[in-house]
Amino acid sequence: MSTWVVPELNADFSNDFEDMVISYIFTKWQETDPAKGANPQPDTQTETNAISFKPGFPDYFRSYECCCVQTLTQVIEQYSGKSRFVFTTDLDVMLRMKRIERDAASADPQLDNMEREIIRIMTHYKHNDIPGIKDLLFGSPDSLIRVYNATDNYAKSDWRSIVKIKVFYEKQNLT
Amino acid sequence: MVDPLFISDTAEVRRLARSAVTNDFTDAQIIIQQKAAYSDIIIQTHKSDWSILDNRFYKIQKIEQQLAAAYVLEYYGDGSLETLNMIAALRTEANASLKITVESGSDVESDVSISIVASDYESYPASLQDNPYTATPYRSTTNWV
Repeated sequence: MSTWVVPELNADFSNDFEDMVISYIFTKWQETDPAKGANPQPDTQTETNAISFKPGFPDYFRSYECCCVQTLTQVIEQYSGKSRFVFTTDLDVMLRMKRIERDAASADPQLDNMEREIIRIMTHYKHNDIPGIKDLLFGSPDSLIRVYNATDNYAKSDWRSIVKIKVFYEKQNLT
Repeated sequence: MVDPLFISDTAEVRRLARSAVTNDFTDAQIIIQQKAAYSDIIIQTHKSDWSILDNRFYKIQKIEQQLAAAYVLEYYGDGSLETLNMIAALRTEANASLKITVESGSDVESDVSISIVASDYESYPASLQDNPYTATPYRSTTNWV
């Protein structure tokens, strides 16, 4: 039987990257507009202005959402004898804001605030803050994209952006 | 009795409207939508005194909540599929429930037939239209009969 481990853990990852990354973002969130709730999924009655954090896609039950999905995994280094591999896995951190007056003379600032906060968290990441993940890197060439489509108009009220990030990690074959 | 202006819970409407933030909707602004929704219920049920003593009250309350939430969501009318689907689903459900409520209701309806009492014309020539055969023209005369 093969033994396939992340060196820092001495075992393979037991959680999905989406779960780990969204949980990390929730823990490190400091922005107050929008602020986080007591839990990743804030109470819809007492914390209506709070941002919701969840792996997967937006559920539209909140006005501010931060979601995360995994996309592409690449092997960037492999050692001889298939003994050691270095990977990056891309994740889309999706930010969503439902607000009416984004197009008004003075735009609602919350979407920018959320973007800035994700960038701050990313750039403050230290080795192994999430056990097994050596670093969080920005995706390239598109690191942060505002999402629009051809049907958008002056009445648009659903605002989104995607921050592309990569988790950088290593796996070893100890067989 | 003064009829209530709305019967649903404002916090529940906010929740159903996907937790609309207070920056976009204050409680007072949501209450305006609740009143409009209650008017809709009155129009369709012909009943304006829904009270907690009625065993259909909670369903009517729910319908008002759905309609009011749909009204709130209309403000986010950017044509996105998500918003349109939510508005349509809430409206369809609320209206279907209202239809069932009206159709299966056992309320005693008020008497809507109206009695009209009219009198015939007595003086000539207007009396011709009521009784053209026996209408007697008034004839002035200098003769004593």
